[in-house]
Amino acid sequence: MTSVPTRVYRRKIAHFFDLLRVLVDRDMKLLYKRSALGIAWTLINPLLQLAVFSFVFRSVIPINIPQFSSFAFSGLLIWTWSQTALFQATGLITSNKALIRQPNFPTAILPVVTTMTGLIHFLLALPVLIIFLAVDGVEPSSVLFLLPLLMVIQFVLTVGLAYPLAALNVTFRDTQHTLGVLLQMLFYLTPIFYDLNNVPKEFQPFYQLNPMVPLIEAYRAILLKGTQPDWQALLIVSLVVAVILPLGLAIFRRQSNTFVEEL
Amino acid sequence: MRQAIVVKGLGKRFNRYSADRPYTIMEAALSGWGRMKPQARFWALRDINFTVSPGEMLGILGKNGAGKSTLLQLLGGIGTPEEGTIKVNGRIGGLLDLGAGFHSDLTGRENVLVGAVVAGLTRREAARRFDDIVEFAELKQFIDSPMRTYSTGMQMRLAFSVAVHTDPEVLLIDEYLSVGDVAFQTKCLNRIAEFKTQGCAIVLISHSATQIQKMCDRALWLKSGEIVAYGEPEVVAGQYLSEMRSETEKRTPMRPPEVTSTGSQLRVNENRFGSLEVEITDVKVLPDEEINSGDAITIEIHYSVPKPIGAAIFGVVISREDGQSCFETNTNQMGRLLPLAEGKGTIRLHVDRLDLGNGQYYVNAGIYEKSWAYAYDYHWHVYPLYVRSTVHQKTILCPPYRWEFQGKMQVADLPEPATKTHALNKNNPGYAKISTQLKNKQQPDFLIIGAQKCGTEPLSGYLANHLQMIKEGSREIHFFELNFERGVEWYSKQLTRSVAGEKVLLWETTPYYIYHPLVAERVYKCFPNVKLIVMLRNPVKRAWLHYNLEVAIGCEKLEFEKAIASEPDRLKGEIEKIKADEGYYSFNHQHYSYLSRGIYVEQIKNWLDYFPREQLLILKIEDFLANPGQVFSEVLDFLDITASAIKEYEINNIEDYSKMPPEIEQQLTDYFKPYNQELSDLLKEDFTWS
Repeated sequence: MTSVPTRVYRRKIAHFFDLLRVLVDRDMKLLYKRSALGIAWTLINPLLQLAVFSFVFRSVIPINIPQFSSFAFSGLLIWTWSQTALFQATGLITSNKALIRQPNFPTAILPVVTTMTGLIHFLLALPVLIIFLAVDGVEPSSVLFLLPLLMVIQFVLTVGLAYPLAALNVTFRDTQHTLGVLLQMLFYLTPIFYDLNNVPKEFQPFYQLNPMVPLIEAYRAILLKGTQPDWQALLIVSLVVAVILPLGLAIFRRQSNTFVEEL
Repeated sequence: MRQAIVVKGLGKRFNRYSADRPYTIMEAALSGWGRMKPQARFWALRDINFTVSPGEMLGILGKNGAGKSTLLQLLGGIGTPEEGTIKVNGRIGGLLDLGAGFHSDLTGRENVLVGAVVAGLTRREAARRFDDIVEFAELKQFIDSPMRTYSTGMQMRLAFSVAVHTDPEVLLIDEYLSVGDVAFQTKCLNRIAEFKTQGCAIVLISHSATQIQKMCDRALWLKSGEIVAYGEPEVVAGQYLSEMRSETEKRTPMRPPEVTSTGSQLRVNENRFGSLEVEITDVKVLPDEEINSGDAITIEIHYSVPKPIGAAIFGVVISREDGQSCFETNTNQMGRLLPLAEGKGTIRLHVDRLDLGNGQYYVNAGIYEKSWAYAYDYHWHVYPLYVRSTVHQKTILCPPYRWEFQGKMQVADLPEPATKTHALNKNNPGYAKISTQLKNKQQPDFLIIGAQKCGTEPLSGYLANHLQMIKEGSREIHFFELNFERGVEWYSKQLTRSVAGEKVLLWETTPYYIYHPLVAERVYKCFPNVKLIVMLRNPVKRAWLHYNLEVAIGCEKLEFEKAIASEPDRLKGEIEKIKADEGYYSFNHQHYSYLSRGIYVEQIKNWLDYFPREQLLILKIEDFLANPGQVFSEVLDFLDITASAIKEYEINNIEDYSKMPPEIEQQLTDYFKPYNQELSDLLKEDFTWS
């Protein structure tokens, strides 16, 4: 016999995950509803980008990075996940008015849903990355088991950043556009198609301010080099996330309340 | 009881911003942050207090912008109040937004599943109820089409269906009920009513005061974020409508408080509502403001009409202090609209009996527009009425009542155990003979079989005093009708044993025997040679004594006239049931047979079907009282014994009952006359009691 409060609590947990699943499912369906290509669309974007990069950095301005396809494609996948999720999450409060106005709807679930959808796309693209790795002759190593840990950190980081952005978009409706520009800039300022080691020493500290940098480095250490990631850098990222998340959540809650009240 | 919703001192404040408030980061950066600050703050809701208990329905009335939807949202946990508290116990279901988060690109099926989970169901629960939801919405053939192909009405149907299939304990409904066709609306309303009976607390917003009046238990009228009126829907809705009307006609009557003849203050919008096109000048509760439960009262409404009114409806409600309406009536119910001429007038409502429980009540009086659109004048909780009742339990009603028991009353009808045993004088010459008889004899020698209230008791007393008692048996054994399954062996142990001369006599008295339809046959089958003594009385008198007995033991609450009038109903089918089922006990047959028991001729005929006339001795108590010695010697002759009085026995014949009303007496005399005549003819002796 379980006590009533425990059962109620358990049901709440179960319901939260059901809700998450249903909403992710809804997002996926909406994304591919009118697309003939369906799920393959997820891959086309990074693959096209990769083709361009390969052409530019191999034939036009050759840069000397071994296993360039795997290197660039892994960076692209990781970045795309966070970028897409952040961009979409920013419009969440304003575009889900009807959902937020449902009694007792846990509004805070929305950025989680968006990030989760991104994660699923990321996972779906992983086999392609594995093919690239195989073609580039990378041997799988035991450190691959650390991959989920990195994904968890990236997940929480993305959700943590999505909260304040979505909140900001309520006050300033151009947040999403501004963010688009910023993310495009950050894309180039993150070592995605180039190596961090090629960045001049005096600029390195600025790169360390970007939490995506240690994450991408850690992914590559695991995937390409088969070595342990830089634990110290990851710990710092985790601490940053631990501060951003509750803060962002609080702002998000306040703004979503104000939003439904005032519109 | 735990309330479903408790709102205390609720206040919600909104900010108002200037029109050129920056909406982009660029503008804000350029114009400075000062412009971001709200220019003004206003209270969208202030000082809101109410409760909704499970199974109750609260209607919220008000114009656009009065704060209705804000209130509903706050109840649904959307937004946070600046002041006060909201407590909602139970799962909330709601229809706050048309569409409930439906997405136009998804199919109905997909949207239903999302909607149900968003509304609080788990996926499994949602899947299980899916068919019910679709069926309720009547959208089976469209369920796999995208939502964008649905009409607004169809979307609303689906949304409503989802909302009502999530087992809400608290249901919040914004005024979307007006969407959709009438048939579906009715279906929704029925479903809502069903929820209500299941204990769901409901809050409904509606423009329609009539709808709220019809459906809700309570109503709340919001105006600019504040409560104007909160209480009975009829009152609030009427008030709302009258204001809507008077607003357009620019004659909102506001006047200083007036004082009624009973000294209560009449304050507009507090205990007085209406357009005052007709005024109630006074309401009198007659005979008194304090009555006993079951008393008659008259409510007198004095009114004055400044300008003639084509037709009006008068209404009276008697309500408890908490507003619970206990009795409600109006002149419209008798199908009459009353045209009112200029001047003063009085209307009276006579209530023959007011069977209310003990407590404080109010008489509310109103005069309404002919289509109930609004009240001309309504006085609410102004005129007190106190009802006194002996029943002090918490009860609204206290009608005349009695308990009736079907099935055997084992305990009540169990004979008292045989008590005294008198030692037999061993010097008696016939001692040996008597003791043999006492040992062997099992069968009764005679039975006094009735009728009830006809003097069987004095006769038994007389016998007991003249015979030598060996063992006093049980009084009223009720063997042949109520204890027959106990068997003859048990029966003979209960019998009284007495001695006359050298003869031992076993006997008993049970006055119900003569009347019970099964007894004659049973007695004959068990003891065909037993002697039967019948004592009769004038059936008119018998009925009256019988009635007073039932009143005294608490079985009869009706007036005598009503009791005899309802006898045919009470006894309907009882004899058939007794005959059909040997184990059946009929309370009504035993207790409510005032007249039926007096039709002796039918009962005697039944006995004569089994026993020869010589075996019956039929006496009249009137003769016995007038000349006990002579009648008693008749009894002794009949029993074939001789005996002399052992000690003087005084017949206890005190009747302290009041007299029967003479007109009923005459009526009953006429009623019994043919039966008595028939009995006299049958027995060839005078039993006419004239």
